Parts: sequence; structure tokens; C-alpha cells
Amino acid sequence: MKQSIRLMIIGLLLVVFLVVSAGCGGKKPESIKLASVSPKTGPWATYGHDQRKGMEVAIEVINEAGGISQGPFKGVKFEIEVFDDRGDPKESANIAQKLVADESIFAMVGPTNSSCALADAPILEKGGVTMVTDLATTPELTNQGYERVFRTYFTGITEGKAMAMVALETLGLKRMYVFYENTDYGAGIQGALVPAMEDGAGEVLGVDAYTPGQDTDFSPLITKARNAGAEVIGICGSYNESGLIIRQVRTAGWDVPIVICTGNNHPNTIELAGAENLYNAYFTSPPVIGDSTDPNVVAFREKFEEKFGEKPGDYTAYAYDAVMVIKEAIELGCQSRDELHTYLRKIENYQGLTGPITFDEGGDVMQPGIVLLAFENGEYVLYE
Amino acid sequence: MLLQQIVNGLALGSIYVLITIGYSMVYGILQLMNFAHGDVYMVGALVAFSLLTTYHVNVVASCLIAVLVGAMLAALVERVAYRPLLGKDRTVSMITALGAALVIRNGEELVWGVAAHGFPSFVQTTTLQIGNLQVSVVQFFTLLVSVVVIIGFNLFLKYHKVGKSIRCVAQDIPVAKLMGIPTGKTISLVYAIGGALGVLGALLYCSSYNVVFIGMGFAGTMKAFSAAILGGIGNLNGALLGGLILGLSESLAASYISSAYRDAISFLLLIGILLIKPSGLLGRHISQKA
Repeated sequence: MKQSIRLMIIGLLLVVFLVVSAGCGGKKPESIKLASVSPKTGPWATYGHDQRKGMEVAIEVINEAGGISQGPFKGVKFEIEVFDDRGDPKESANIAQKLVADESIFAMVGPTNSSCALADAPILEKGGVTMVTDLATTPELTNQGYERVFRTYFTGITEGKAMAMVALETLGLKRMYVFYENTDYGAGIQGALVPAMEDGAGEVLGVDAYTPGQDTDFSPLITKARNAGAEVIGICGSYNESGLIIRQVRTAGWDVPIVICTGNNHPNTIELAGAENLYNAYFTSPPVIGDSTDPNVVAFREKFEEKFGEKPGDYTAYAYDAVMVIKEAIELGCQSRDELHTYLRKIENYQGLTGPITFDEGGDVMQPGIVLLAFENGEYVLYE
Repeated sequence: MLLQQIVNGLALGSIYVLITIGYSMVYGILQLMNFAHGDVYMVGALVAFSLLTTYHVNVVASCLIAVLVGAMLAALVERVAYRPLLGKDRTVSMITALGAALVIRNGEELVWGVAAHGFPSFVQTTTLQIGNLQVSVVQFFTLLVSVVVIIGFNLFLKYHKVGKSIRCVAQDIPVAKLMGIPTGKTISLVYAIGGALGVLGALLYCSSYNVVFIGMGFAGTMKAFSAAILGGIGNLNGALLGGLILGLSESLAASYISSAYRDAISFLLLIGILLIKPSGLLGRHISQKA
């Protein structure tokens, strides 16, 4: 009897101890660890490294200023942990599970690929971790009622509409043939481009999908488009295929104007398409940060060049802003990763590099306009 | 448009043919599904890419070195992965082949990464305008090379001493040994030739589309596999027919049915043909020795 009573008392003390220590959740963490989840190898590695670099610059800026500047977590610095999801939804889902299980991770920045974002969202939502994606565009991400999903980039809807506007208004062309990447990303943009063309008194002659990372021969599609009498081609996909498509269109002796979605104004596109084939090609793009005179952007550019010895790509700013809004949310009073989403929604008109940020119900931001680039003299320049 | 799509399909098929020959030949002689075929030839293509772009070696030398590398790697794979399992169940060697393929692919990834790179075109990628049709010169050049290779190889097998010894090994290995044929060396030679032909095909493939990336290896193995089976595996003329038909079916499927499902449709076609003629279009049904 005495033995069992002793055991009960020890058990009770243990329980009390655990409850008390769990209750002390407001303890300052050692650091705010952000997970960089994006492809670091594979066909989309360029985007993943852009993201990581943008984040690293943001973290350096924050830490040099002393970490969090106000609130209960004042003085806490940021840290990055880098994950490679290779653009594969299965791999990304594994990483998401890992993040949920690892309490030291405060939030996820990324993923880059729309399919990965869609795979990760339910896992993170259930596990209480917030996602701030800097590049995934699928509209499906923010219209399913997830509370912990945020996006600093455009949605596929904005992209599709912008492409239609370029074709109809800037170029004055009505008959379009659309090639799109057979993924959530490509489908998202195409799904908005087609109705936008039709609403604007244009005509979509045909829509054809291709498989990214695999298809190298687009001649049947190009023949179809040409046969249908297309005045303009729209490409909804990333640089691996867009480069090849442009090359194949031009080598078939066809000068047709080509409008391409964002994410393609990269050196890789030039390599794959061949610089001599990039005429009459119109690249929609986020605002070019290389030209901006905004003091914050200038400071970002300088910091980036100092750290990496190269000019920042336009997409790095979205990852930078993702880190900054998380910092903002913490300064507004967020004390645990579990409530990050509530505080992100409290942000109003935070001045990011990419413009004023306020998140809507779904988690999207109202973005400044997409710009249009053409290729001249070996580089991408604003189209006048 | 139909005519242009047929031209497109034949052009695509021409690329497939050369890749298929090496694969089909290995099976015809050694009854082994060389799943490492695609990845071996990609090593050749990537070596050529590095030589051409980073080291600025001239075209002919780069191609020769690449073909040599492919041949040696194929022979090495045979020594390391297949030879120890000779005589065992066919499925065992298939699995080793897949394993070898994975090892090679990951090795490629370490050296070259997975990103797509622009491959310089050393055969002019001009397109001829014949009437209303666009005809890609390089792809039909590839077809020409394939036909020359097939004719040459058939002659080699028939008349040359080494070719004859290969045929002996194909018929019966123990008896070939008794006849004094160095079976080990002959088998390695068969793989080496398969690898060399594969690299040749890969070089023309990369040159036609001006792109090289690791994924082309495995995708190519699958195409070679399908084309070889379609045409009758082990039969070189079957490789020619199978490659062209595969290319045609992909092109027509993409244009008239759905570009997203082009691969699925070509494989459906493969299944359809096999249901009617299991040994492939030109294949002979080889009865199993008890």
C-alpha cells in the first residue's frame, strides 16, 4: 500500500510539473527559425535558390538591426533552415510533416511549386504551421478556406489576365493559341487567360498541355497552332519548356508573337531558346527591382550584391517580403507559431519591397501591376 | 495539317530509332532488358556537352570521345552488374539493370545537376520548306544515320568474324565456348556497341532539340523499350519500324487527340499491337528451350 501511494504522489507531481512547464509557453525562443522550402536541385532550382537568397538577405538585415524590435520577443534573432523539395509534391509533403513535428521551426517560406503548395497546405493547416509562399501561383491555394496559407506573389488569375491584356491591348492581337504546363501552376494561369481573352473580344483557338521535365518535342503543338491561324501564342509554364518552345517555333520559320507568363525572364531561357530566337517574345514579369528608385529596394539591391556578388533576381524580393511580414506579425504580438496566421491577418499596408501588403481573407495580397519585358541586345528590357 | 504532322512524327521517330537499335540489339543477343541503356547514353551526351561548352573541344573529337565513353561505361556496367548474374532468372537481371541505371543517374546528377542546358547544334538545325511542309534537316539526317547503321550492322553480323561470333554467342553460350569463342569478351563487346550506338543517338537527339538534361535518359529508355517491343525485340529492322511508328503515334495523338496524354496514347497503341501480335510487328516467336 505504501509503495503504491508513493508512486501515486510521484505521478501527480510529474503531471503537475508537466502542466506548469507547458503553460509557460510565452518563453522567448532561442531564435525564430524559418524553413526555406523550395527546389534547390532539379528543373526549378533557379527559383529555389532565388528564394533562399532573398530570405538570407532579409534575415541578415533583421539580425543586424538587433532582431525583433518590439514586443515580447524583442531581441530574438532569425535563422534559416534550408530544405530541398525538388519541386516534387511527395518530397514537399514529407518536408511539411517534418516541419510540423519540429517545434523549433516557426514558419515555412515557400514552396515554389503550386503542386507542392497544394500538397503541403492540408498538412500544415492540421499541424498548426503557417505557410507564406513567395512564388506558388495556383488560385486553388487560397480559395479552399485554409487559414494558415499566405502568399506574397501574384495568383495565376492575375497572371492570366495580364497576359490577355498584353495580347489584346499592348499588341492588338485577338487570335491566340495557348500552350500550358500540365500542372496546377500552368492550369491555374491558363484557366484565367482563356476567359480573359474571350471577355476582351479575343478568341482562343486552342489550348494544349505539355508535360514539364519530360516533353522536348513540341512540333505537333506548333503545327496545330499554325494551322489554326494563330496571331499570337501564349505560354503558361516555366523556363525549361518555354525556352524550347520558342526555339522550335522560330526554327519552324514562324515569326508569331509569343506572350509568356512570369518566371521566364531568366538566363536559362536565353540558353535554351537561343538569343537569336527571342525576338517578338513578350515576357510578363514582376516589377523589375533593378530599376526601382525606392530607397528600400535600393538598400535591398546593395545588400544582395554585397552578400552574393550578383544582382538580385526579381523573384527574390517576394521571399524577402515573406520573411519581413512574419517579423511584422511577431512584432504585433504573435508569441507562438500556432497563432502566426492571426497576426499576419492583422497586418495593414506593410510597406514591402513588392508594394503595400495587406492579406485578404484567402491569404492573397493586392499586387502592383505586372510589367512587360522584351529581349534586346542580350538582355531583358522594359517594353515601351 | 495531317501531312505536316506525319512529317513531324517521322522526324521524332527517326530520333527514337537510333536510340532503340542499341537497346534492341542487346536484348536480341543476350536476352537482357538493358534498363541502364538510357542513362549510359546520357553520360555520353553530357560528356560531349561539357567538352563542347566548357572545354571548347571541336565537334568531331567531342563526339568520338563521347561515343567511346558510352561504350566503355556500357561494358563496365555489364562486368559489374550483369556478368555475375548470367544464367540466373531474367527478372534478376532486369532489377540489376534498374539498379545500375539509378547509380548512373545519381552520379550524373552529382556532376552535371538536373537542370536543362542548351546543347549546341552541330548539325545544322535548318528547316527546309518543301511546298507547304516544314522538314527538319537534322532529324532526317538522324534517320539516314540509323539506316546506315542498321545495314552496316546486319552486314557485320553476317560476314565479319566477330559478327559471326556474336551470333554464335546469341545462339548458345556453352557451345560457343566449346568452339573457342571468347564469350566473355564478345558479350562485353555487344554491350559496348549498344552503348556506342546509344550515345550516337543521344548526340543527335540533343543536337536536334538543342537541349540536354538527365531526365532524357530514363525517358529515352522507356521510348526505346516500347519501340523495340513494338517492332519485335531483337530485330534491328523491327527497331527501325518500331521507332518510326512510335514517333508517328505520339505526333498524331498530340495533334488529334490530346497533347497532355500523348504518352499514354502511344503506350495504349503498344498494348494494342502486342495483344494482336505478342512478339511485335517483325518479331519471331522464339520458343523457349526447356
